[in-house]
Amino acid sequence: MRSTLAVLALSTLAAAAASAADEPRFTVSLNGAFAVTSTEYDSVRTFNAFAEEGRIETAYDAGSGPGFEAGFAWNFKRNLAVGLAGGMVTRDTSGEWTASVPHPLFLNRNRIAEGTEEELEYTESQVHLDLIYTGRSGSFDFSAFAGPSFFNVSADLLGQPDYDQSYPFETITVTDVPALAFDDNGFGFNVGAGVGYRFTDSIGVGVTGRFSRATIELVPQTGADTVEIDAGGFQVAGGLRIYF
Amino acid sequence: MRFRHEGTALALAALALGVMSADAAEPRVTRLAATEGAALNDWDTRIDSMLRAGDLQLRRTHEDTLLPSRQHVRLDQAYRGVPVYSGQVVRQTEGERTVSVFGTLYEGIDLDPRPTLTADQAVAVIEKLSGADLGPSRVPRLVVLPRDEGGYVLAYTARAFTESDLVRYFIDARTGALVLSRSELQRQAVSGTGTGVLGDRKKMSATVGVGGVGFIASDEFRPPAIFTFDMRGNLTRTNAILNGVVGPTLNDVANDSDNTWTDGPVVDAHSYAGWTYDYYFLRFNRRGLDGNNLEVWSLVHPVRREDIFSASNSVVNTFFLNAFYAGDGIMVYGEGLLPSLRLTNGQRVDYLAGALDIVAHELTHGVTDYTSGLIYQGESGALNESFSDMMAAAAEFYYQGRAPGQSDWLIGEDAFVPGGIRSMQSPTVWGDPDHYSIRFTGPEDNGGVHINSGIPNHVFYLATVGGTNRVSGIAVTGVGQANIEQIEKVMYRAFTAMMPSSANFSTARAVTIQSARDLYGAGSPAERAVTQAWNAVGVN
Ligand SMILES: [Zn+2]
Repeated sequence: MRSTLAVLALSTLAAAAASAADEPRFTVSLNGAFAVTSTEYDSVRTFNAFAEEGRIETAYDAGSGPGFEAGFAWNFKRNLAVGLAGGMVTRDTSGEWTASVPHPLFLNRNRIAEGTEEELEYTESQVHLDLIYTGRSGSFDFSAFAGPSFFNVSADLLGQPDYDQSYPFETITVTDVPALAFDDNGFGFNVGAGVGYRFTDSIGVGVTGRFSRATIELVPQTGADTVEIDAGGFQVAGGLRIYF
Repeated sequence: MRFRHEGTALALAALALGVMSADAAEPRVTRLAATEGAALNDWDTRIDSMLRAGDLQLRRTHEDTLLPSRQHVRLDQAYRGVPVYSGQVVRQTEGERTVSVFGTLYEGIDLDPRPTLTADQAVAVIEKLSGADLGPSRVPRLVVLPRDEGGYVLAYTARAFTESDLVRYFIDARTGALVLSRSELQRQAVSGTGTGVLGDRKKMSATVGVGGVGFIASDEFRPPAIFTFDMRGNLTRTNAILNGVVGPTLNDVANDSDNTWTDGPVVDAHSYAGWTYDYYFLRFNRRGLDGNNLEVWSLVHPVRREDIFSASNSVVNTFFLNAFYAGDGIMVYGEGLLPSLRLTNGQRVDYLAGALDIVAHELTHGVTDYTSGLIYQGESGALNESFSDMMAAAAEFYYQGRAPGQSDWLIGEDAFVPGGIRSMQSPTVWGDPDHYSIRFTGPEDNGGVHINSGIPNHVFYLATVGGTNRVSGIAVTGVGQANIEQIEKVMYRAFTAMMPSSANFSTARAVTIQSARDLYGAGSPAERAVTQAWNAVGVN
């Protein structure tokens, strides 16, 4: 992720240096961010136990969560800019799981247990490369933007549960459902708009709203179904603006 | 061609765990771990005085090769000159200074340290138990053994290599009784799968073999140890084990290299013994044959099918065409007939272990042995047989859909094909009476224990399903097949808790009606069904 971010930044800077557009201006934004919408995804993990296949199916709810975002834009024309923004959000994530564990003594008599794991880790790193339309009215400026996005998602997926059992093994008591982080990358898009207010020629504040989307496939287990996550969603960010 | 029930007394053998009554005070165990301060000084002083008194004896001194200035002394606890088993202290010193003391010491020992058994007599006991030859160099050690359940016992201990296990025995040095035996090889329970006699897949509760090689038919998931022995057609050895001449060794336990078991009789005898245990536990909360998780041994392949042509009639009837409970939790399953052979009635005979109802029938004889002890003669004997058939049919219904064959009111239909050997619905199909007026009164079959069982068998059927008795024409309103559990519980309770050993049919009628009344109330459908059923078969 980091190397991609660096490459994108370098190419933008190169474009800035090569261009001789009128009134070149740069904007740097430093924002706190908040992912407003939630995302849901499912995982199915299988394991061998007592000479049969067991499985744990989990429905995850990655809710809203805080993060940060930093951006850099270059107005290569009066109303047009290219911008690069990157950031990270974490989401308040829980997983409702159903485990099916084979019986040690009988075929086709899996024991079922259910539960919810809270406080799972979910981190979404984003880099957006945008074409930005900018406008200005007095101390206010406005922007609308769209472009491709790069995502990296790292999410905890639940694996083979630990459990207690005793004869006659009709039930299990799950003692722990270990979570292991998996991550992968993907490309998508983003679109959004922002408004800023300048205190001086070089300092201001601003807010943006951005909708982005990328589908990330995590591969927790070879030969098993992948976990598809719709990353992104609607995100707001607000903070400092520096103009030069 | 009837299941026989023999009460052969067998010696408790190598894989068993014996229990004796304690003969001394509660053992007080001190686990010491002193590394500094007053505790270390106290223990140091105490160890010195125990050494002087002979309560600790030097076992070994070990120079520390990593810290050359240190020395480790291992001291064994002794009681009046006899080592206390597992009582030991290890003291680390540096010059004159004691650095640490770790160990376990037992207190409150109060017994006479003089054995009445000689070491040679103890060897003889262990050899008999293990079936192994100890040889002259294996002198058993006299020890004071702290008991898990309290107290101490003076015992000889030695390890015996059976054919493929290593078992430590503790023999009471006064009585010669087995106090404790345990395998000193690691065991690990593991589930495998197997294919039964009828080609159905099921799970096998197995154990990793000795040295981690292969798997053995030793069920360590269920509370009792359940072993299945593959006698590999060796009838001489089978008889020697049944007569207690030798104990089975781990080498006799059926095994499989990859835990995907393919020997049908092994798979079925082993798994059905477990299923029957489960049935009794889940239905009646009963823990095994004796209610105390008695070990179950199943012996399969007592003969080879092709040896039938040279076998005597009694061997054919016992080890080819029969299954029997041999007492003390031991079952033997007949080998059946070569596929090309038929009985005179046209039936072919498969491995008897392949029939869940046969397995449950035989194991129920064990339950009867430890409960009512119904005398195996005349009407009490027929009740004994009938209770085994009731539980056999009930277990089959309990596992309906899981066992390979159909659940039905026939007995043995999965081994004796077609038709089985008895019918609870229509006993007369196999020549057995369905009414008291036509009961068998001859001397054969212990007074018809497998014949007159047809009468109480029919009671169980009628009380469950309902119907009209063929002879009396009396109609019975059963509780319904869906409520068979009620009649099972009525019978189980009557036959295990309330029935006297000498009961006749009339007693059985009164006992089972009382059992139904106790469980479900006077006038309940169960009480009415049981009463009507006995009326219908002419037992008052
Ligand atoms: Zn019988």
